[in-house]
Amino acid sequence: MSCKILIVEDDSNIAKYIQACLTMGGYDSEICSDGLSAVERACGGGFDLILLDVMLPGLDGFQVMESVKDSGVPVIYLTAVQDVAHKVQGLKSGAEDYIVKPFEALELLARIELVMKRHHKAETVLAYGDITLDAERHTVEKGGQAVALSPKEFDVLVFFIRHQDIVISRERLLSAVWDYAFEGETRTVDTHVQQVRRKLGLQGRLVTVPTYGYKLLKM
Amino acid sequence: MRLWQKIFLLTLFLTALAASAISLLLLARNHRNALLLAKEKVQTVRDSAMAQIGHLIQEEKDDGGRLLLTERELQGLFAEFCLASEEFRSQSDGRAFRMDSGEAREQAPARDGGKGAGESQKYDISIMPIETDGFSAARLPREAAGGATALEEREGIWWIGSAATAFWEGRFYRVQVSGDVSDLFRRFGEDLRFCQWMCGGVSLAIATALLLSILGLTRPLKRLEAATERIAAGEYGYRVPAGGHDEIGELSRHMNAMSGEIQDNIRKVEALAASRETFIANMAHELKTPLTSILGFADIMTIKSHMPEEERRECASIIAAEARRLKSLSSKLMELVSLQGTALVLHPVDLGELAEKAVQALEPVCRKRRCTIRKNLVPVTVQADGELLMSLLLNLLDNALKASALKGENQRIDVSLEKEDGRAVIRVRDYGIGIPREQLGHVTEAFYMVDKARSRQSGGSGIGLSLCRAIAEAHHGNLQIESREGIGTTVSLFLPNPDTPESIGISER
Repeated sequence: MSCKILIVEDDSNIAKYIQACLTMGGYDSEICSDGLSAVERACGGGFDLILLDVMLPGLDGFQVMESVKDSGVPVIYLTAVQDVAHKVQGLKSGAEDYIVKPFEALELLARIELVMKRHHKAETVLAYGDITLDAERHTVEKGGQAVALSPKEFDVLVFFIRHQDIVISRERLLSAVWDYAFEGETRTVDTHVQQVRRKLGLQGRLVTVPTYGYKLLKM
Repeated sequence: MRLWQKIFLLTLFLTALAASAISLLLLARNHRNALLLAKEKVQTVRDSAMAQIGHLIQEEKDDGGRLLLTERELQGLFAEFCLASEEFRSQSDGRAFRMDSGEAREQAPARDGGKGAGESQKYDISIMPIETDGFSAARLPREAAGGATALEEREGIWWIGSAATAFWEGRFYRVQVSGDVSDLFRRFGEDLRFCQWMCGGVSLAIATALLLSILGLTRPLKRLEAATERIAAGEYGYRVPAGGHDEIGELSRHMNAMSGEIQDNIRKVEALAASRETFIANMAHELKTPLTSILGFADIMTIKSHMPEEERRECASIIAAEARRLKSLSSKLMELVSLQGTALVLHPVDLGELAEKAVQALEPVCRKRRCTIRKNLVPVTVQADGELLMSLLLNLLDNALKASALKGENQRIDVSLEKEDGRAVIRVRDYGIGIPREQLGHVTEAFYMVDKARSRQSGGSGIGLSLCRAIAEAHHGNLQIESREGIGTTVSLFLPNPDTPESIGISER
């Protein structure tokens, strides 16, 4: 994948964690541990997104934001400060999103995806084996044959293809495809996954992980 | 009612009351004296009239060579006397003579030589025989001796009368002289009216003067009132313009002192609240940072299906390291919190022994970092909480080791314990990287880190020194930090009231 993300984070372990998440999501990334060099590298270009910590040595996140705003690179704040005033300040300064630590890997990936979509940087045509799908036009083909999927089934498929080889819990899938606040039953998830598996012949590839969820094996 | 109004009315009332009372008393006294004088005069006139009549009777008897005069002759004599003396005017009313000086009123002043020329005296005299049944002279002298004097009003005229009984030619006569004293009463009335006018006028004048002076005197009070209102409204920086050395000036100064004190306290409270807020914000941040790594790597280990052995090991080690960081942070926080608001239980602690133990505890770390610790300890006993002091020493040594390790290998740390000016002093000196001068003042603030990245790498939480300071303060001691960047740092812990081991020994014996 071509998307490249700059991680600005002074705690080395958190930076490593973020990098691991991004690798899972299929993004390239670079780590930068202080504000000044972050500005330098962001302005150097070549990044599609910046994940910016607010409390940084040198320049803090808001100051970095001021400097990189003009470059047009979208910014997501990552911060331990969970206070509304901070959040408002962050979003007003032009950030795309504001993620409060601690956060889960898939949540980070989902938020990044949303931002990428907004900036038309996410790939709209995805492929998995002989399956190709167009996320914008909502069409799926398997071996050149169009397959009819309900909208939710389509979303489930997109989610799995985007997160290959990652074990996805039913709850995670539920909140990602249906709604974050949706208090649905996990059985709905099972039904949809079975439909997707049957319609696209993914038996043996879209596997059930006992007591946890599902996983789409990498091609 | 306002205070100035009260003062004004009360003062005015009392002044007017006092003035009128005094003038009334004076007037009354004057009047009484005048009446007394008039009374004496009347008595004198009566006495002299009786004496003259007595003379006339004697002369008449001597001239005629008679022993007794008839009643008729006697009456003739009375009339003659009245005409002659011209002080009285005679008027016959049957059985008695009533002699009024009505005509004499105009002439009397000239003849009435003894009295003042301006005083017009007029007297009535009446001489009446007293009817007695039989000769009861024995009863009469009582009336004769006492000249009764009385004051009475007839037809709007005040009379002062004096009566006496005379015994002439075998008969009793009642001689009564009355004088008109209306003048005195008239003058008294005039004086009274004058007094009333005067009192009214004076009261008016006093009222004006009082009003002006009271308003002038209470103006500072008004200022004070306005000032208290402003201060009460939250303008604690406002100061009352204080002038003069009277009570109000003093009150203003005291009020200024009070509002100053309030302002200071509010500033302190605000500063405390602000530092609390920073402390909590910092604490949240410092807790969340390791938590993010722990939860994050645990999440990755859960959702990632194929994980190489090496990567799994790294994840686990990061989780463990961050958990240890969290553990050290939480235990230090617990100590810091428990230090606040609880009284320590102090026991005699041998500082030398304690320092020895602390150094021993860090021996393995020293060996690993190729660091040597040089000790120079004398036995000193202080009243202290041993565990807290141990924690303090370990923190200081740990800091020294970290600072040395950052400089390089084969470093030395000096630990000394001595007595100085009646205090026990422990010094931990390293020759490490030191602290920049401008940051020296902040290092005991909670969560302050000179170099965050380096501090994290070496497992620092940022509250070690603030914990040390809190422990030192709980022992009524203090922490002194001297440092030069690139040369080294000396941290001195001063503890009060050391006892020598000998004295402890003696007291135990």
